[in-house]
Amino acid sequence: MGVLSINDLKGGMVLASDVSNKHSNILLKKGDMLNGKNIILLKSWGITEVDIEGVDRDQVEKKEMEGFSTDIMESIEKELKDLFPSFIDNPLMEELYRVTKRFKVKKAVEKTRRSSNETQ
Amino acid sequence: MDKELIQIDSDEFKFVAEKLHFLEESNSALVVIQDKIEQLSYFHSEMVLSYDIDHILEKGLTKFKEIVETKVCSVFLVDEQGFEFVHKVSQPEELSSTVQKEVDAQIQSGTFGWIINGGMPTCVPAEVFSGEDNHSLSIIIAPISHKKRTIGVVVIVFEEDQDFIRQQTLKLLYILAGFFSLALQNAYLFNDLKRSYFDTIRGVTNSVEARDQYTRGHSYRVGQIAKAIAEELDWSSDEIELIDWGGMLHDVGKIGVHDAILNKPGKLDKEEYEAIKLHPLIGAQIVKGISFLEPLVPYILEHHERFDGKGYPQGLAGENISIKGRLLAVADAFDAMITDRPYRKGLDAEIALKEVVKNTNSQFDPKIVEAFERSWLSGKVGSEAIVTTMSLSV
Amino acid sequence: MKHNKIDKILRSVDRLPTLPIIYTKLTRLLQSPNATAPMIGNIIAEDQAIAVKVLKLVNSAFYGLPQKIGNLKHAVVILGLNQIKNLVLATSTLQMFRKIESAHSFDMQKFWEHSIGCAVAARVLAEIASLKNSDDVFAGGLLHDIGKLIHAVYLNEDFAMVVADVEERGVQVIESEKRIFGYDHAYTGRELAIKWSLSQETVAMIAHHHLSDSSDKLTKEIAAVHIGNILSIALGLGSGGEKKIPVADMKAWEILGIELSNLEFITARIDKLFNESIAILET
Repeated sequence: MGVLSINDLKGGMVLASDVSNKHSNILLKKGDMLNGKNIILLKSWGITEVDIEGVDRDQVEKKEMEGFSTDIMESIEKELKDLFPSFIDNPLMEELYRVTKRFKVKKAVEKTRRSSNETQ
Repeated sequence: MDKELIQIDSDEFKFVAEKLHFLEESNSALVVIQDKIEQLSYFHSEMVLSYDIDHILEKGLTKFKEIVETKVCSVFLVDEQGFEFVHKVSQPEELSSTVQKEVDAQIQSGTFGWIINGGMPTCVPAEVFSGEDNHSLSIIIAPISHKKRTIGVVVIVFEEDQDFIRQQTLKLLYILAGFFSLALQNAYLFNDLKRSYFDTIRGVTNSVEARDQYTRGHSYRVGQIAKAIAEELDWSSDEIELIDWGGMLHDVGKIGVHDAILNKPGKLDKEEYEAIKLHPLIGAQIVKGISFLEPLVPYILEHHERFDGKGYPQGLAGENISIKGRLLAVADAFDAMITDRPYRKGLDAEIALKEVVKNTNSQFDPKIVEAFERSWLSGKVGSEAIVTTMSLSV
Repeated sequence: MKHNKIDKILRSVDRLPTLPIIYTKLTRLLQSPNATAPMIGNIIAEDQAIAVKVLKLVNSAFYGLPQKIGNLKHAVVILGLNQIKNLVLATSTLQMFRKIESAHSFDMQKFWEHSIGCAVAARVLAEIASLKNSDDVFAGGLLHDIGKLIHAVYLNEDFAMVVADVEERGVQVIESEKRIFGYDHAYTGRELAIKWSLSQETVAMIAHHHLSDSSDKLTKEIAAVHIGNILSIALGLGSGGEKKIPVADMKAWEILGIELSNLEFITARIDKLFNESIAILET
């Protein structure tokens, strides 16, 4: 089981533990299946992370990136490798690495979408 | 004496003139604010008087729009079961679907959740609403809380406007959102209180009926039957709500009656009968001490009065008996007839109905009986309905 | 005597860039108890370019105000004196940056984009950490690398060596500066800020934004600029000459008290506001 960011949740995923809001009300229970409606419920209470059954976060992100051209992915990986220093025991840098990668991928996708719109 | 000419320094003059001008502007703005604050206090007292949530929302939003120019304002309340933010009301109503879309967009982008977490009213750019030249409007999302828990939000979208002191208006809106919160809190508190009173009363009734096994559930059923009749008579919803309580408490005076008499299998002798006849009085005494239960006294005191004046404890006749007493008399007698007693079995519902009709004018008020017949025909007090309520009562 | 060269430069008044007149006039006025909103508005209006930018910023998503602020007098009343001061500081120093031509091996355009990026990032962090003086933090973020600017313009040759060193060894600019100059841009920035009579908080943010010294004090404002700088480098908002992201000091993150899971939301917001700010400040 793995903890996923709220933006990564998709219908069909199953919760590995209860999700409560800031008043300890249980919004969804362990074993519940996610769908469009209950994902919105979680977002409306500002939930940022959720424990999902049977997934590993790295796996999910890897799968997501599979859709993109390998050229782009490779250049982003290299960019990150050059950009990031080595660090030990620093949760912020770890999270930053993850967030930066997704950010750059998103930008690359937007760029290709824009240029393909222009050529049309 | 020569008057000295006092020279006014031109710089100093300019300085003073500027200050005066600024003061004038500030003053007129203050007058505007003062006027709005006055309107606010009316708003406050109007809202707090009501304990009906829907009523508060409707009135509140209408008042909002009077005091401050807004494009639309809406209230979403957290559903008690699923905890979703449910749209309750928008003013104007026509924009409610756009507001829903706006809130959905704000939830998707994470801004809504961030504001709920922070718990503070926040002003953000709108995602769906836009102004004339397509530039985005701003919205305030203000969480409403009760006992430190978020129970809803107020969403306010602004009109384009050239008001001078905009910051003051912003503060005003935050205050208004706070008032909303207060009024809703009051309503919730009142409802909480009502519910706990009701639970207490049910507890008392149960303990009365625990001693008198043949009338278990009787109080509840009497209330249900009486409610059905009252609906036929077009009573107000406030009055009808009271009947539940009246039904629950009408026999509370039996607490003062000896067990042996209550459960005697045979017929009662004169002394025993006199003892039982006291229960309406005893019940009324008990309830009279509790101020908010005062409206229930007629139900308790007069449910054994007869239309022809031969009832007890006061022997009142016709319209001298309160309408509450006349109402409950029918319901009580009917339920007594259909339930088993220590000394006889219960009658068939249809037969009991005929008995009631037979006793119009002697025991019962004809108008009440007529309404009772109508409710029977409409199925509200049909034999199935009674069977259902009998099985529901605890 | 360690800091020979830069101290000489800093001491020579005529060589140093001065803060735009409009800012000094404003600061002086604000010290007077008789300052009124119209007076302040008038001073700002003396420089059309600045006035326009201040108004545009006030109306942007940064402030999320209910409606269009039509003139400076309103802006002053609504935002308050401190915010306005910081906005003027921000816009006028940027004017100054633009006037300086790209020094050899130092891209001016990218430099001020990075400065804006850091300012925006620090401000977003301040917002989410509920700091009261988010505009002070904005100003601090904007000026955090002003020392680099001084080095690039006034110690051009030496700075070129720093740039080459950074390229070759992949180290941080401050490390290379210390090696080649004997001091770093945080020190220079601090000295300049003091000379400009900026507020104590702003001076501190500039002086300690790298948190490289154990003697560096840590306040929430400094933490915001420290992390803001790192975020703007990571997201590629302009460039301050760094080839690698500095390692973030976890203590800085902790003092802000923000949940790590909010980082994604924060970067999205920074991105949005950065683009809007560039559009406003570009002209």
